[in-house]
Amino acid sequence: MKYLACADLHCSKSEEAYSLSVLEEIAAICREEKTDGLLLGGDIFDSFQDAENMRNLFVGLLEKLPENCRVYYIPGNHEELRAAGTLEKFDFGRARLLAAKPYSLESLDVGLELAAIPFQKNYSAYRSWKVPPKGNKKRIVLAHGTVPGIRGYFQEEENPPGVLDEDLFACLEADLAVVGHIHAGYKKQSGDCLIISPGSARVWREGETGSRRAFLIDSGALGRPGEIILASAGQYRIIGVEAFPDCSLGFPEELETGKGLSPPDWLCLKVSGAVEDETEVMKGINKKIEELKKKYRRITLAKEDLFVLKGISTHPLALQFIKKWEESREKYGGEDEEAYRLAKWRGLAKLKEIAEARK
Amino acid sequence: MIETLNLTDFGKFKKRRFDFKPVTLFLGENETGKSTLFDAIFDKICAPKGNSAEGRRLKSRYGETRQAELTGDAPRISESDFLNLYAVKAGSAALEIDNNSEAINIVKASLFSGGIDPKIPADSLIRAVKARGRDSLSEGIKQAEQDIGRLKSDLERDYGIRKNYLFKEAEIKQKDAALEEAEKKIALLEESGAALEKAVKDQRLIKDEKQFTEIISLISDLRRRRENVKKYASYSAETLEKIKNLENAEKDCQNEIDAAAKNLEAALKEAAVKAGEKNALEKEQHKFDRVKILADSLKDRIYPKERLIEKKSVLRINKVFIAIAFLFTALGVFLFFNVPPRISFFVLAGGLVLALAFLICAFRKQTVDDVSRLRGELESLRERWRRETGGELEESYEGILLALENASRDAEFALENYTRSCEAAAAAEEKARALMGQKAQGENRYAGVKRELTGALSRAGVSGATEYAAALARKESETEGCAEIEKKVRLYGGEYGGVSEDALEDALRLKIKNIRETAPPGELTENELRRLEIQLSENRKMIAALQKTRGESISSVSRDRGETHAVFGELPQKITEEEKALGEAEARLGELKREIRASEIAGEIFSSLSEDAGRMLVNLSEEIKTVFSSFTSAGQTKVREVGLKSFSLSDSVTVSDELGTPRDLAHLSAGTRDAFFLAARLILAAKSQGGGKKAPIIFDESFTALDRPRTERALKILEEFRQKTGVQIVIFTKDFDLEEPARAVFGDALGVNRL
Repeated sequence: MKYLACADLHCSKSEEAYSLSVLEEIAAICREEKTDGLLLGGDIFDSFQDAENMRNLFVGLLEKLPENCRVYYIPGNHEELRAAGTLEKFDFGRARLLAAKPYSLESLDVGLELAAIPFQKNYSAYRSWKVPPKGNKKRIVLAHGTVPGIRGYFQEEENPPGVLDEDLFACLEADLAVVGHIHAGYKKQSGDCLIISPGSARVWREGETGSRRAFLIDSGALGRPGEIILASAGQYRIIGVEAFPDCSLGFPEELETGKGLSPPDWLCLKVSGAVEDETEVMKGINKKIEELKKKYRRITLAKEDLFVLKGISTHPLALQFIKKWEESREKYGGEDEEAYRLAKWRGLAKLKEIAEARK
Repeated sequence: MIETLNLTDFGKFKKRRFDFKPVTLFLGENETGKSTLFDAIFDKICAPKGNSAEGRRLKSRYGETRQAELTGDAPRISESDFLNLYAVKAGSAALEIDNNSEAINIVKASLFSGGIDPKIPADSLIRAVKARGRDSLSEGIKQAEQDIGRLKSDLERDYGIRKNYLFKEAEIKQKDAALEEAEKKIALLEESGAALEKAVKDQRLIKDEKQFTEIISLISDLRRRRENVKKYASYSAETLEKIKNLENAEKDCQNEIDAAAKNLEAALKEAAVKAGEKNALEKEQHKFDRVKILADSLKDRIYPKERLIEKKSVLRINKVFIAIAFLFTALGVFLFFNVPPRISFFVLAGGLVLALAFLICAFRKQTVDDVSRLRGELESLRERWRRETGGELEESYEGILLALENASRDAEFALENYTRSCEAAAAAEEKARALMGQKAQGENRYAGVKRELTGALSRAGVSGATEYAAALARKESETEGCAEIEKKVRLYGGEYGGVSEDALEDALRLKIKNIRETAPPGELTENELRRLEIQLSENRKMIAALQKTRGESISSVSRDRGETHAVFGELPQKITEEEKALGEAEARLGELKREIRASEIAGEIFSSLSEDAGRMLVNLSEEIKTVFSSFTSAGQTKVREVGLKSFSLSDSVTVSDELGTPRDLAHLSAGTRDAFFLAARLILAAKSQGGGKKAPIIFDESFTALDRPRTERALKILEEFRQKTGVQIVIFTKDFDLEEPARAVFGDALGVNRL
């Protein structure tokens, strides 16, 4: 039996087309792989309102799943965000909403069962849950929360879920635990249980670099789930753009050729450099952004490392410094490329500081 | 340029005004106020802070009411720059330059590209790297490392707590399992306890039933006893005694009779025996009589023996002798043939003679007794004896005679025996008769006793004293028993409200009926019941002990669980937050280290640029050399080369002597060294002025060590310097002779103040 597991799709009205395109790809993967089930590990909707407003579209897309493919869906913390009710009152079509707290057990197949743990603020009472022994069966746990020892994106959140201690999985006799909430994918072996997080199924916030994935689980080999990249989710990519003292810009080859980039990508142009005139630089940047917006899903700009140094383009010491810096690439670039690049801005910034102090 | 200086309460100047020109000469002896003027200019241009060393000196020396007013456009410069660079004190031309002083920075700026010595950003960046202050990078790294260390330590501790918690949870789980086990055990024990209790209760009911049955039986027994008591009411000890006596008497009589009967029997037996013996003897006696008569008669026939023996002669042949005779004959014959002939005849004759002798001896006439008659008598006697007695007599006379005598004697004995036997038989008979009489008497007596006894027994209804005694005893015991039973029954009856015995019996029968309906049959023995009760007791003890242990375990588990939950409830969250903080701290550390490395790289790049700028010092050296040379060469000696390695001057200057050998400043003469410092001051002061306001250079008795030619050369250099740079020059001296050359050099630019 095969199951596709994913989480944190964060379907939202503000990014409807994008989030639903990923869901469509998920359904296509299920068709292609002829999966027997789809496990949704929470935060499928970005908020309660999104669940309310988009559930019909969601149900419609689930109809594209193979006929015998059952869908198991646990609510995450986002589904209860600013909730005006409970999800149980909605119909999610083929998706079986497993919202019973603290957990519920579902039989997936002969010899395989699912323990579903929907979002809760506190899981610390897990030892009193009185979970029946699994006997000869294998058990998959589907949960939503943070697991200690797994580092991901620690962003402050509204209504955060509780922490799932690894011992919880041991108490549930889990053979495989699929955990949503942490947007960075990971795998961790904890005793007999493999804990996996698919990560966010789409790029939801800034900084979520890397491919977006889902896990393909074979019931006969729970310890070796396969990873499937969700191409339609794209990636968050930081593209470094150099601003030169004469306000010219250096765009990397990948931006020009599009090599390695895909339309659903979110590109963050990180502009850095010491320039005479920031507005002049921004003209060039904005022009480029307009071009890129036609090709890619989202473009943002970061210019913390861009600063203005009057006379920079003619300042002898600045020019000497830049020249010397470039000549030192071989010497310093190998040990820490980032520090080497940063050295340029720090040197020019220091020069700027001294020059301005002298005025 | 300073135009005027107004002093009020400044040292010895209560109120004094001084005018300044591009070159101002103050002439005055010692204690005329030159130092005061110097201090006043210093006070105005540098404005030292009250708590600085110079500030405190000025305050201490001149007081707080001092006032100095400057007109003109003299810039504000630092104390160190003024004292080290712009003011040349007498006897200390040596120049101590603060490499980071503003003056030197201005010099550097005038020398380097863009006006910024690359060493400045290099040093600034390196300083930032090495800075140890609160907001410094290193402090940030230290803080981040401390945070990381602390967080790691906290994580280690918390993971340790977690591990302990899980271990404790495992223990709690074991305790739970043990509790469950104990609960099961308690349940089992309670179940078995209930069964035991029922069994014991049933047994108690059975026992009660038994008791009730006993009571009922007691009541029956009481009734029976009372019947007996009633039945034996007439029985008394006297009657018993009487009956006993009668029985004893009967017994005695009986004994007597028995004894008499026994004796009689014995006597009769004896009499019978005796009679039998007598009869037997009597029968034999006839026989013995016959035998005696016969034996006597026969004896008479043959006795004496001689009567029957006749004498006769007979020839007796001794066969032995005949044999011997034959033998001798044979011998003689033998010898005859075997001995020499001479003797053979003799031998033969001898033998024959002997043989003959013996032969003769063999035949002998002998008078013998003729016993044929005797033999015939004896034979006849034996025949007769055989016929009459059936016995056999011996062949010999003596034997026969003896046998006859014996037979006669035996007959006599027999007769004696017979007689005795008759007597004995008679006596026995007599005895028997006597005993018979006794017996009869005894029987009579017995009959009488018996009658009496029978009567008494019949009246008592017993068969004997024993029975009477038993009955009497029973009566007594029954009476006693009745009393006891009545007491018991009254006691039991009291439990039922003092009911009557009948009512009590009815009540108990009802209870027995109920018990039999509820309790199962099967009474256990007392030991078995005791064992059951012990089992029940032990069961209860075990339950109590287990419940106590369970209670303690529940408390312990509850306490442990509470403790661990209190600790662990928030622990995963805490660990996650610590990991988050650790991640952030590590990221921060990474950033700081990157910042530091970036700053180091930038600093190194600037430093390398600064090294490139070292050539700037060469230019400076040339300028100083030019001035210096003009002080020292006078056109005749070789230009001295000046080598500056840095701006510190004090330890990085070499000056070549006339022979061109580089020598440290310290190894030069005082005059040459002063000339160098003066040249360096002028150049540095010129370069450090930059644009705008210029600070004056003040010479305080600086030319006292110079001779006249050097003094004039110095003044000329100063004038060139002044004209080139526009820097104001102020000279304090007590050398009034300086005025003349000064006027010659400076012309109208000179202003002279006499103190």
